[in-house]
Amino acid sequence: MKPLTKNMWRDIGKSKGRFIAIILIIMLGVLIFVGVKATGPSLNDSLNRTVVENKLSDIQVTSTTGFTKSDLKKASIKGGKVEAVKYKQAVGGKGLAVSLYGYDKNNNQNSLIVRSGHLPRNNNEIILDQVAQTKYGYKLGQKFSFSKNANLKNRSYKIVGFASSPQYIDNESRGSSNVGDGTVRLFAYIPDDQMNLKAATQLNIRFKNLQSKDTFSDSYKDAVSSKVDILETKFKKRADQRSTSLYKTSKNVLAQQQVKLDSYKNKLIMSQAAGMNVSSQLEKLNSQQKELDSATKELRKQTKTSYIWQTRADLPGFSAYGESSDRIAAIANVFPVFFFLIAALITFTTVTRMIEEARGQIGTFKALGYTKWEIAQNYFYYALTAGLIGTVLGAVIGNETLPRIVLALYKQYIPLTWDVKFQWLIVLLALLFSLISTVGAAMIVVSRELSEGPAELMRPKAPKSAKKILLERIKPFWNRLSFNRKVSYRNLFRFKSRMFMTIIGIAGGTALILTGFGIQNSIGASGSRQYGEIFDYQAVVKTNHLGDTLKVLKKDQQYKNSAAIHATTGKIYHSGHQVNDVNFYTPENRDFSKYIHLKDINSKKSLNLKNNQVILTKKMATILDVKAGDIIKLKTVGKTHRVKVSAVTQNFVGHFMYLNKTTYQKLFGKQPKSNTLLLHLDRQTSNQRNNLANQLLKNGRALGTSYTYDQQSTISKMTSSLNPIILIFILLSGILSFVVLYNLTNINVSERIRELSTIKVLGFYDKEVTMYIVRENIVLTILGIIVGYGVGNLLTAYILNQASTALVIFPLTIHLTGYLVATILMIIFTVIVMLITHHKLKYIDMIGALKSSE
Amino acid sequence: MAYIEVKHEYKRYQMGETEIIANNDLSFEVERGKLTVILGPSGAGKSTVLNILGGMDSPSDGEIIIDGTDIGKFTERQLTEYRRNDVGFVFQFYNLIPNLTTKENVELASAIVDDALDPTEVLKQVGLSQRIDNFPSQLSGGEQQRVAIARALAKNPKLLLCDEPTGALDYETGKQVLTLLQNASHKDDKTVIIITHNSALASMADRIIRINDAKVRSVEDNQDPKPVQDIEW
Ligand SMILES: Nc1ncnc2c1ncn2[C@@H]1O[C@H](COP(=O)(O)OP(=O)(O)O)[C@@H](O)[C@H]1O
Ligand SMILES: [Mg+2]
Repeated sequence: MKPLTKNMWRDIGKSKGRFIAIILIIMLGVLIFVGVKATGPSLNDSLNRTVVENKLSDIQVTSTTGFTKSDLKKASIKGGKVEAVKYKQAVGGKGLAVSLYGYDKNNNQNSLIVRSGHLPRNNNEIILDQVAQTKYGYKLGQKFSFSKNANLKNRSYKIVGFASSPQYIDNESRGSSNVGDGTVRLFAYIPDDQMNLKAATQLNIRFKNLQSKDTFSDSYKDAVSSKVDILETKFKKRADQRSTSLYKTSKNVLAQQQVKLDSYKNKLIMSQAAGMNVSSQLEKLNSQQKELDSATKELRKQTKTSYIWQTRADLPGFSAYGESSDRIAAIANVFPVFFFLIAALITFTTVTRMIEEARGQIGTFKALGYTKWEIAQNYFYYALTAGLIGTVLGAVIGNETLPRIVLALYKQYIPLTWDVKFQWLIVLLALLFSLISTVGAAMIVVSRELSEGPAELMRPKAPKSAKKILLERIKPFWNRLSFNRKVSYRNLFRFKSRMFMTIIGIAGGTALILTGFGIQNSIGASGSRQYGEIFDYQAVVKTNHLGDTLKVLKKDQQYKNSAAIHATTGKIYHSGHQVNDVNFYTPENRDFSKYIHLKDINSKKSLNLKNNQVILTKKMATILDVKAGDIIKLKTVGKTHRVKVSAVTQNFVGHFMYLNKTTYQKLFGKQPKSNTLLLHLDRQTSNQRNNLANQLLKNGRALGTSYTYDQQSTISKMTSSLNPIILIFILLSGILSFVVLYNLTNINVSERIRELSTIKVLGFYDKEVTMYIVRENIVLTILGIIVGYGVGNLLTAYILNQASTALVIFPLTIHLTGYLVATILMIIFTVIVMLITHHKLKYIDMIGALKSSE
Repeated sequence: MAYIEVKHEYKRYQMGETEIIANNDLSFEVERGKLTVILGPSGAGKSTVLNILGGMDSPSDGEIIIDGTDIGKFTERQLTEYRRNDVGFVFQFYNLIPNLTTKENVELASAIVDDALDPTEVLKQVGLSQRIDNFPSQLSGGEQQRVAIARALAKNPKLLLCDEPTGALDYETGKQVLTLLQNASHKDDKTVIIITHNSALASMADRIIRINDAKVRSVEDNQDPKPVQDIEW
């Protein structure tokens, strides 16, 4: 080893702390950058792997009347495997809507992940959804009974196992039902022949060549939708065919009865003609005829065939899963970069300080005749070593742990097969960044120092001539300060770069912690504000018959009052943009304003519906670039209409267009017929909610009831799915701030060791010596925290903007807790650093520091 | 009784395998209100004993009795208090705080003791009343050393310890500084100890202690110390 190189390694040995600090900071930056960047893909990969392993179907089609053998053949298109499943929804257990499947050993798709017990082996056995155990308390060996309407071979089955299914990845959602209270609570499998169905009601189709694609990718979605298109075309005429043929076969029985009835009638008429009193028989006959007629009608209804096509994206919980990993990816684009920037700045300061300390040495080497490059090389290697070690450690730890921690904390989903790939591209990017901030910094500082001659270098650097600071000119303020404070302020401004670094470090940490809370709070706020400020009702009931529905409602204990509206959906166009799935709400009367509060986005004033004008919600207005006064185009079924926008209203979730009856009449040429009720209800228990929905479905001719309570809890669940990642952010941001503060304080102490020794010799007590330097930290920490509040708000706003979906606005909200936690953490860090510094200063070698001439 | 009594003082440094003895059984006395010069070549152990006298370091062995108390047995806290209230230090390299003005540098010291002298007054004494608002970098070496002396004096200490105070100064400024120190002793009755390797300075002192090779070689009293201005070297 060359003496110069040896010298470098000894230097590292002497200042281990600083070398480790650089490694640590780079490591943290890389760790969070790579870790967070890897989390999104890992979440998607793991879900993909899980659904591929369990052979989730790509397409599912259900038929109201079942499938024939030839249907199966029709459905098997190139590359696809088709399996037929008997499926129905039934009410079972404690009044729960159950999605019930027939278990067929020979079927491979959508295979169950048995969590305990086993699959059904005998006729009287059932395997239940895992949530039956966790949420509803069922146990192995118990009986599970179905209602009579379920029409199964048996009424009750023995629970022999609990399972998860790739069709139901999100434990919190099972889809909607047309039985029970309208929400599926469980899925279950009983032996195939127990279903008591003649034909299979569901076809599962799976394409081998699609399995390597990412389920959430556009390329997968496009491929699947083109397959659906092919299938839909093939089945287009099939529905009517099947309806007719089913009707014909079953009609025979009815037709025979009609013949019997007719001949009986003839006989009666003849008897009547013969003068006999047959009026009672005739009456009976008439009622039988009526029954027969309604049976015919019922048959038509029952044989009416329709198909529902579903892809993976339609499965409950799937889209939400994709969205939450998208959201993490959006966070990953800003958060870690910010983190990295701080790490780079700190590394820069540290390297600068290190090289400045070695000035004399560099001068000596130069005087001895070493070339610039030979000297620079050592710092280059020093920085390179620190940068490389930091990057490798950070990349490996970040990539391997963060995604796994998040996966492990994703308790809301079925157990996933973890698939954490090493993200080479991101690691390379991180490496580039860290080398710029280490080697780059070293090169800049060295080239600056090396441009001085050896003689200059060997002399201590001329101290920057001290100046009066601006604050001193504010005499009334300055004169009131204690002597020690004056000294602190002077020092703060003397070491400007360190001052800014400390502020950036603290502000960065505060901002990142605040952002962590902010993301969470804001997502939650989209729900709480939508259902607090804007939607002031407790439930929406869609109904076929307002009168019947109201009759049921009036019997309900918690029902207070309701407003009728006409609700339909359509598309809106403006300036080349388009928004689908807009809800058009036309209220029946003025009561409406007590149920939905329309408030202008700018003036915050209440809005009224004007004739021949409509009110749009904010997100849609933003997408369409619409403001009050603009003319928009809208489309319901087929026809396009034009209308003026009177105002844009505050709204957070979904797209709505509000119009009055006159406007509706004018636009669509007919009176709106109310089909939806907005309800005011007293506080309900979940049982009461289920009961009411049940009643409305059964007796009130309702099509469905949805409670704002459920919607709000869905949003709060969405919020909590982000908890793990937020927690990690908060933790790492804290560590970063701490390392920054510690490192800078260390540099500060080493730069001013002479000054500190001097005051120690003067007889300052240990506490006073510590305060002499820490007082500056306190001021900087306070400033940093305040700046951090501002930056945190900006950063949150930016990330929310990135993460917002087409349907939802996340109003920037950071609760007091966030501010408190960030502030308290920063104060704790300042105190810890103070204690460490105190300990260090107690044992500094003041004699040694004062002896030398430098 | 003498103000300072050093009795069989040892200072040993353990450097790996070898032991360096910086002070080897030093014994001497220093009288209250007198000017004492410690003379000896570089590496003799002068600074070591001065640092111990000033409470910056503790002896390995022996007694350091100052005004009747053995500071050799003091705790860190007691030593700090001793430095704070009883000692003023002047170093070869002035060790001023670069970021504080002349006056503030003096205030730094006066702020921590109760019976401190007025900083402006002391600065006038050392002839720097015109430079009160200047920063150290704007002063010459001699001026800086005078600020350092003012800083030491402002605490109104009983004992003034000076380690080669003229080491970095030229002849004339060196004389000015030494005059200030001689006055502190002869006019203000402070006990002053000056370290130097310049034997010509012996004649300004009331007592001369010669140290060589870690041992006291001689202690000599001078009944008629010369004013610094009259000494030539
Ligand atoms: N902290 C220390 N560690 C080891 N040796 C020391 C230390 N301080 C001083 N010495 C040694 O003690 C001896 C006396 O030093 P010093 O008192 O500074 O001499 P002087 O001031 O007379 O020039 C020298 O040989 C020096 O190397
Ligand atoms: Mg010395």
